[in-house]
Amino acid sequence: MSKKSSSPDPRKQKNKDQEHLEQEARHTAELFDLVTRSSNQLVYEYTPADRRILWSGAIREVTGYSPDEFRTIDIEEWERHIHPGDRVRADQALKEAEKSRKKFHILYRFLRKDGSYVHVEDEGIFIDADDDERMVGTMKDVSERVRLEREATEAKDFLSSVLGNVTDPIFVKDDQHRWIMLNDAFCSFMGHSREELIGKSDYDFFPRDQAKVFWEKDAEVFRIEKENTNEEQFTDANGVEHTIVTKKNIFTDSKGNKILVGVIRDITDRKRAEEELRTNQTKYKTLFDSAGDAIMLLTPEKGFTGGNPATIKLFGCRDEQEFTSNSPDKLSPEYQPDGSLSSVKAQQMMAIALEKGSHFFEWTHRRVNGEEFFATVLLTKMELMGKPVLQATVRNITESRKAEEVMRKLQNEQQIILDSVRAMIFYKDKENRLIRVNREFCDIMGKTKEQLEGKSLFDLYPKEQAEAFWKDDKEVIATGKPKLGILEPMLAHENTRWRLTDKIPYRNERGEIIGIIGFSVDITELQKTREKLEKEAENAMKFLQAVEASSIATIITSTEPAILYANPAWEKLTGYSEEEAIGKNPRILQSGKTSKEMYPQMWDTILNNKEFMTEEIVNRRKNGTEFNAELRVYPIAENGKVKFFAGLQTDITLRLRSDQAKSEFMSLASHQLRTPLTGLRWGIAMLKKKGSLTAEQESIADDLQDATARMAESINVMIHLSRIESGKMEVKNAPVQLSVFLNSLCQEFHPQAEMRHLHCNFQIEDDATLTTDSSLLREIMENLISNAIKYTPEGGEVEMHTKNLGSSVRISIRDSGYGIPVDQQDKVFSKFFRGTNVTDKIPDGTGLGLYLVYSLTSLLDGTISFVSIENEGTTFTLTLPLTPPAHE
Amino acid sequence: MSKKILIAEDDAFLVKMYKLELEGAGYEIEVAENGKLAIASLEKVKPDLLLLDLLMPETDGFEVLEHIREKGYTFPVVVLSNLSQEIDKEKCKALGARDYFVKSDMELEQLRQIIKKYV
Repeated sequence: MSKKSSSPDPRKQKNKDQEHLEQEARHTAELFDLVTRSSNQLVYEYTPADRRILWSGAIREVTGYSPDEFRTIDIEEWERHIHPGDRVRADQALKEAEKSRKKFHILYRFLRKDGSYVHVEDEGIFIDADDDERMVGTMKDVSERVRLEREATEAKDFLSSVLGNVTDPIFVKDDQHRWIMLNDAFCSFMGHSREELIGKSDYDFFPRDQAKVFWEKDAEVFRIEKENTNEEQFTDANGVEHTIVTKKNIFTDSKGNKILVGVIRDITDRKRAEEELRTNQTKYKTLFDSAGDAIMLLTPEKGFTGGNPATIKLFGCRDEQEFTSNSPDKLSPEYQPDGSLSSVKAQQMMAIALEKGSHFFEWTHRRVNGEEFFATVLLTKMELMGKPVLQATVRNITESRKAEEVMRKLQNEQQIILDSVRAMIFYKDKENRLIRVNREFCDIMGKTKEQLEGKSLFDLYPKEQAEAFWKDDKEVIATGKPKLGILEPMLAHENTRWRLTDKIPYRNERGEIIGIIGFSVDITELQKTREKLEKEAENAMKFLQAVEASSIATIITSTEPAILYANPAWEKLTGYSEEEAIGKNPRILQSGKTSKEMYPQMWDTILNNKEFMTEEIVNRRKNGTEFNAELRVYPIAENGKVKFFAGLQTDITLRLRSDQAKSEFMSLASHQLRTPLTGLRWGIAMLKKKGSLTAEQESIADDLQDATARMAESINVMIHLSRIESGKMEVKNAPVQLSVFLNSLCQEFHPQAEMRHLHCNFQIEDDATLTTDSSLLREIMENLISNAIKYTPEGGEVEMHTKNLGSSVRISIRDSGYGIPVDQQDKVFSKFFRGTNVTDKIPDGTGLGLYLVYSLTSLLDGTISFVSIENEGTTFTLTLPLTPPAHE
Repeated sequence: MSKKILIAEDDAFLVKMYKLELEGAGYEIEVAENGKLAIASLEKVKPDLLLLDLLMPETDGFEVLEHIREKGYTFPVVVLSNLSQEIDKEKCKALGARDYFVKSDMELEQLRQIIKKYV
């Protein structure tokens, strides 16, 4: 409803030549004003530049102000007239329109002069004329329309809220039987959404026959135009039969059309209940009369009021009348088995049944003839003609009680037997539930019978374990064959136990498998023993192999002693085969040359001290030859008791022989060689002294003297070496201050060096005190220094240098001598080595010096090495620990 | 009165050398060819010094030392032997020998000095 205003801006109408045009325009404006006023709307034009509004049209009608009053209202004033609740929205819409240059359309409440609000519809647009912006629009009173609309909405809301809140399905059909309005209850009743149903009819949702019935009923209601109620049956989509009552009525709508309103009530449940009641009544009567159980009616006040034929028979009455004439306590002994008075207890039982609705208990009855019987009684509370009565079902259990007792006894006996077996016995059903277990089972599981029976294995074990068990069970159930000897690990408590389990299918009397019977024995100890034995056997085998391969002659004997085992080395040593030896006393080897006292002493030591003994003995072979043996006897004890002996012999004949030879040589060397040598040396010296020799003879005597001296030296070194090699050399450690020690050594060698015109130099970088055998160290150093002097040409250099390395000391002796040829350097420390380059120059060498140095150095826990270049020189480096390591 | 030196030595050549070396030194030399003879002559000779060899037939030097100790003789004994092992030296020292020399390592000239030391 917008209209562009052609109202001119007065400021732009100042040209006099335009006056006519201005007049014209004013006229047009007046005309427009007239038109708009009659249409009950006012027109405005707003210029943002000077914030002025030009109003025209139905000002008074809309606002209650006179046009003159209203012309003073500017844009702020106007905004103040907008209802506070609408201001923000109006303002937003205006701003939007200013930006977009599109038409706006706002509904708001406008404050009239009389203080009442009027609903106005404000439509306008921002326009750009020349370089001038303005807004034009109309404002129209729409109060009446708003009121009508609201009323309509309210009415509609009310209807839908009524329809929506009614639990009965309601539908409205037009005269074409189409649904035009439905409530939620109807939609859910039909099982379809409103959208699916609106406009459709019964034919779209029901079977043809059914829909036809509904239409016929509808048509009748349309015809008679009166409320009608029908009971209808139909089957829903799920196949459930429903009985519904539909109340239908005809209305005429505002347009004069007839519509049908239907309200449905689903009475299926009620119908079913009625039907059941009817059936039950019939059933009940039949049951009552023909039941094998004795059924009777009673009240706490009147006692028995009736009983079925089975009742009359049970109590031994002639007829119902005789039965009802007896009170309940008369048909019971005075006391019940628990010692309570029957009359008192009967009242208690009835009270409980009345309170709880029913009560089941055991009762001892007495027939009219005084005979007693056990029975179970089920008391059920009923309503009879509005009053509570009790129906009692009495079942004679005397026979079954007897059978039960026999059964229980049998079961007890069975259980006792099962419980006394030290194996887990269980019966499981096909659903993996334990039905029966024995005591061992309970003990191992650490649970009571009650905690176990009825439980699934999945309740008792970790999932994996339970699954493993269940797999075997399923197999037995599926195949019907027993599974025996299943080795199962079982995680009971903290240790894994091993069980050997048999699982056997359990069948009922018809031969159907109904579960499995399990029988499980703990074999953990057995398993452990087996593993241990296997390991021991393996070790024993390894040990045996070692003994078999050993070169030490070995036998194992009993304590008697009788030979139980002999290895190949023993067979070879003695000449006896193992077969010959077994069972014999090791005495068969005795030569009679070993002192008789030795054996008892040896046995005594071994048996009492449980230690091994070593003896050197003389034994005799099978062929009668003898051999020296070192016999070592070990006791083999088990739990502190000697069970076996191991006898290890080594043939030491050769060793003894060589030891003897050596010592003989030593004796020969030291005495038999030295004594004539002494004679030679002294004889030559005597010749020189007293023989008045010629110069030539004198020179020969000198050479002889040198030769004998060298010979004596060689003998000494060889004796020395032989002692070192035999390990008989004793090392006597004492503190040695290196500077003092080496100084005296150098002093000693000074004349020799001087004689050969050698330049000597020696340095001690850090002095050290080492613990060593000074005489052996002296021997080492003497050898090294004398070598250096001996093998260096005249005018050469010999230098000694020491260095303290903290935990050891390093001594180097460097010479500028002949050196050692490279191809011989690896033999330097071997016995009788002499460099081929010096044998001509210096003939007097034993070839034992460096070998001695090497041997003594090892004896002092030191190391010796050298660097040598032929004709340039050699450096020997000796390293010794400051403190020798501890020896065993 | 010249000092008496008893030499117990079974090797005749060495005895000859001892005698030659000590000729004119003013000592009275007595010789015993084995241990047994040495023991026998001790009481008769009453030497101022005994030069004793160890390995001798019949009775060895060790036995002679034992005998001297048993008898309580106080004259010095110097062992001149060709046994060079430490164990022998120690044994002799323990039995009362004042000194011990390995003959093959000894110059004959040393003899006079050794004797001078004890006589």
